[in-house]
Amino acid sequence: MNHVVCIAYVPDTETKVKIGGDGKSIDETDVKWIVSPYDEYALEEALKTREAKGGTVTVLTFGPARADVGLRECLARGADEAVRIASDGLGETDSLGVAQLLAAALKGMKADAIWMGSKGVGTDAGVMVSMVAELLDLPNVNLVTKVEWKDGAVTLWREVEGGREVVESPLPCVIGAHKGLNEPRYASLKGIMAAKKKVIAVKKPADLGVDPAGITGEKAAVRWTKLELPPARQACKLIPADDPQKAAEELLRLLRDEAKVL
Amino acid sequence: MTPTEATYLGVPGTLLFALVLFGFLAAFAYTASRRWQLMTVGGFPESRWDRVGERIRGVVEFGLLQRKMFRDPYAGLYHILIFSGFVVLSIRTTTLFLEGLFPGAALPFLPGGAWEAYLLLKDVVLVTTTAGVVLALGRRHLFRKDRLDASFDADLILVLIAFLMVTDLVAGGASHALSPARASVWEPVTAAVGTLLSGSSTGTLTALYHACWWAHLVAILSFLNYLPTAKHFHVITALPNLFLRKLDPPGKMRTFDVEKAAEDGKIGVGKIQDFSWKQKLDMFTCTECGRCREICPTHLTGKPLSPKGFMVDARKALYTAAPALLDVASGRGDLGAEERLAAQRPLIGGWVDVETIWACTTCRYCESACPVGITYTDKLTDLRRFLVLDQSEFPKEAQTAFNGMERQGNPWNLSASDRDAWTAELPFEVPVMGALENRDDVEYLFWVGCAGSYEDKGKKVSRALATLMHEAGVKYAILGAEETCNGDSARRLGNELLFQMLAQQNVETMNGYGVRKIVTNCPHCLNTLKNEYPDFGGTFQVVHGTELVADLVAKGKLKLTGRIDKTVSFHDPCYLGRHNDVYDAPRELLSAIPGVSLKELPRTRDKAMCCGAGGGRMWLDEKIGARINQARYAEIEANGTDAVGVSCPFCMVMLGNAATEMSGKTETFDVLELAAQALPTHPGGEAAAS
Repeated sequence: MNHVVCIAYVPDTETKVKIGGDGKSIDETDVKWIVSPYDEYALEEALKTREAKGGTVTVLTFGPARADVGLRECLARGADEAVRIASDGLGETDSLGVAQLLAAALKGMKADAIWMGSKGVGTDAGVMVSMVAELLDLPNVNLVTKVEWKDGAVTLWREVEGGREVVESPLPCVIGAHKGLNEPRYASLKGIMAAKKKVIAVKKPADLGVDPAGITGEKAAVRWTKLELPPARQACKLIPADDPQKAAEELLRLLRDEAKVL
Repeated sequence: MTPTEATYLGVPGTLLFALVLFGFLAAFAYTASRRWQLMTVGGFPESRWDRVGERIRGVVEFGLLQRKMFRDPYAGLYHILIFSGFVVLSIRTTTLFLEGLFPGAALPFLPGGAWEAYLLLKDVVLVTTTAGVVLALGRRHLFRKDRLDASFDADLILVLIAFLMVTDLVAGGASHALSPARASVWEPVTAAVGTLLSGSSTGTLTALYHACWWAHLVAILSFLNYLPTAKHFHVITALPNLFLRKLDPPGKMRTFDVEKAAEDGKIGVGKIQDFSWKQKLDMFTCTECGRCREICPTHLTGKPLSPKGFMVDARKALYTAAPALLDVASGRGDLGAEERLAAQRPLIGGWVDVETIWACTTCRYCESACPVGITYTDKLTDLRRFLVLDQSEFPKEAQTAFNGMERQGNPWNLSASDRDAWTAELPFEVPVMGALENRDDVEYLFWVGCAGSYEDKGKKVSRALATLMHEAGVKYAILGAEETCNGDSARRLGNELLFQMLAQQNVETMNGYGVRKIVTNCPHCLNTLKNEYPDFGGTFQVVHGTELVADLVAKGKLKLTGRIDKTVSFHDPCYLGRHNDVYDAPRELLSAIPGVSLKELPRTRDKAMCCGAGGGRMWLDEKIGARINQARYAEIEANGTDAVGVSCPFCMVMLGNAATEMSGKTETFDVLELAAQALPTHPGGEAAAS
């Protein structure tokens, strides 16, 4: 079985996000970049499956040159090959644009299973699993927490509100990995050393037959106009409780007049 | 007449004796050479030939004078009695060998009276050695210490030693009784035995003399051959092991080229032969006295690791693998040695349980207690290195810490940009190195550490130290967001790659600012910065916060005037005390606070029990046995003081947690916090009141 795992190289979840000078992107200075945590579950499951059943694991990403570091991390954990669709000089695109690029690359890769995190933690809007599947005309199952392989098919457990849903899908399909699926491994030194020697294939959108002009700028379905941080948390307001009657009145007044929740 | 002047079944006694003597010696030479090969086969290189003078001094102090043995005075006494017996009687044994080969021969070149003096000494020692054996048997059977386990080996050896003494005395006594002319006033004890035997017939006396003479020498030779196979190999290896002991700072771990090790496929220790020659010599040398486990936190709380148990298991693995290992090493692979070696019970998971490897807190009580200079933490961390870097197998909690250190520069995985957030609550500005225009007058870099930057109690202590320095007018600065985890936990959890990354980054940052002097409140940071960063080009003078502040108080630059009426216990952090020999500074500082009275804990200073957080255990779950922090806290509670002073942020967390878990009455304070509270400017203090 051949697996392709799509990963996003995103700011560490612990990053204190600052808005950039243009007011619609984040300030990238001092940002530590990581492979999106949900993508790590996807990679881990693909690696485990390959170890049990043979085949190959290829990691695929869309991003600038720095994303090679993330791809190498995946290679160090055991992926066989890595491909990066270069975003350099492409201009602003949106999730659909990225999905089109990924789908174009995936078409040439003969994957039995296409993996990604149930969501990225960057700018992906959580729609990548369905978009890529739709563009490739493949079934997709998201929020997967357990996988069982059959001949030419797969049984997947997915988190739904208040329970778990068990579905079966033919292969190939697109699987969105969710927290709880597994415990991602830590790269061994041997893996890290081996990963250093591997070559990352870099492709331009044009190499994949995608016209950059068609997915950027005015052609992008979603355009960012402004980015704002959530308001800073207000200091806690303490109501003196010397007189419970008055305190309750004051609380109600504040909830109605200031917080405007009543 | 010497017994070898007789003939036995027609064979001349001297010939028979020569056969026996050289036969046994040849057998010993063979065993010893096999042990030598076993010691030197495989393993990473280690050099222990520097600082010869210091090495010899150690041999005298710990080997000949046996300083550590007297921590248990009773055992120290019987051991020195037996040891001195061995030393003195080795001359006696040589003369007996000579006399057996060449009847009538004696040691040449002795000045007048020397031999007589020696005979007297020998007679005294025959008695004292026997007394030593009796005392030792008493320790093993009548008043056994917990550190000792029942051992047939030990009893056999002791009985054998007593047998040697008795046969020597009886042979001498019978010889004296046979020819009273031989009797000498210089051998009073032998003479007394002779007098006792003098009523017997000549035939009986001759038979007794011959039997004891032969038995004595054959017993000695058997003893010699028995040593390398049993726990008493230390008779031969202890002094060399002390000479070759680790002279580097005790808390410094071995640095190695990680990439090269990966290419060679030799990362840490995965198989018994991967241990260095010195590590194997340690295994040879362990006598199973168990001093190492007396205050071992894992042994005391029922975890599978006891230093002695680990050393004995490793030795068993080594001896079991020896035949196949030596066959492979000598190129006799055609005998299927490779297969036999491969089929050995594995070291990790076979001889040594994985939980044993991860249990160690690297508190080094064991190493400070071992009378023969054996180290344990190096072996356990080398095994961890193999598990982490080669196998990628380790407790999963460690991964969270590794990821945090790698990405955000702290094991808590909190944002790197919040590293100096602890300064916000201070009424004065804390200088940040990178923001200073002129760094020339900065005397100390204040290395805050991850705990001091992110952990709530640790942050308070950072503020206390900054306040104390501020009040004393010390020129200092912090690195702020440029500081990253020092890597202590990563290294001790086996992740050398991550450690070296962090070390290089920090050294680069600090060298970039021309840092020379560092003050830190974290003993783990202190140990790494002071002892391990020199390997990465960072040579700094590193002091602990309590050392600096105690000095400021002593010099009158700080006045501690606020009264704090508390009785205080002091818990020595392992990485400050045993690893870096700082015991007095925190105590001096406590004593300088008006109202504070220090009451030492029963297990204190170099015998202090670990809190359980060292060796990266801070980041791992403690799933087996009782909790180490609670065991230590129970001792603190029993000391009956109002508070316990600590000087390490890890100890603070561990003992603080124990206090909560056990609803304890003894509050935990950092010594620096108490000192800051005694400042005149502290709210409620003199200056604030006026």
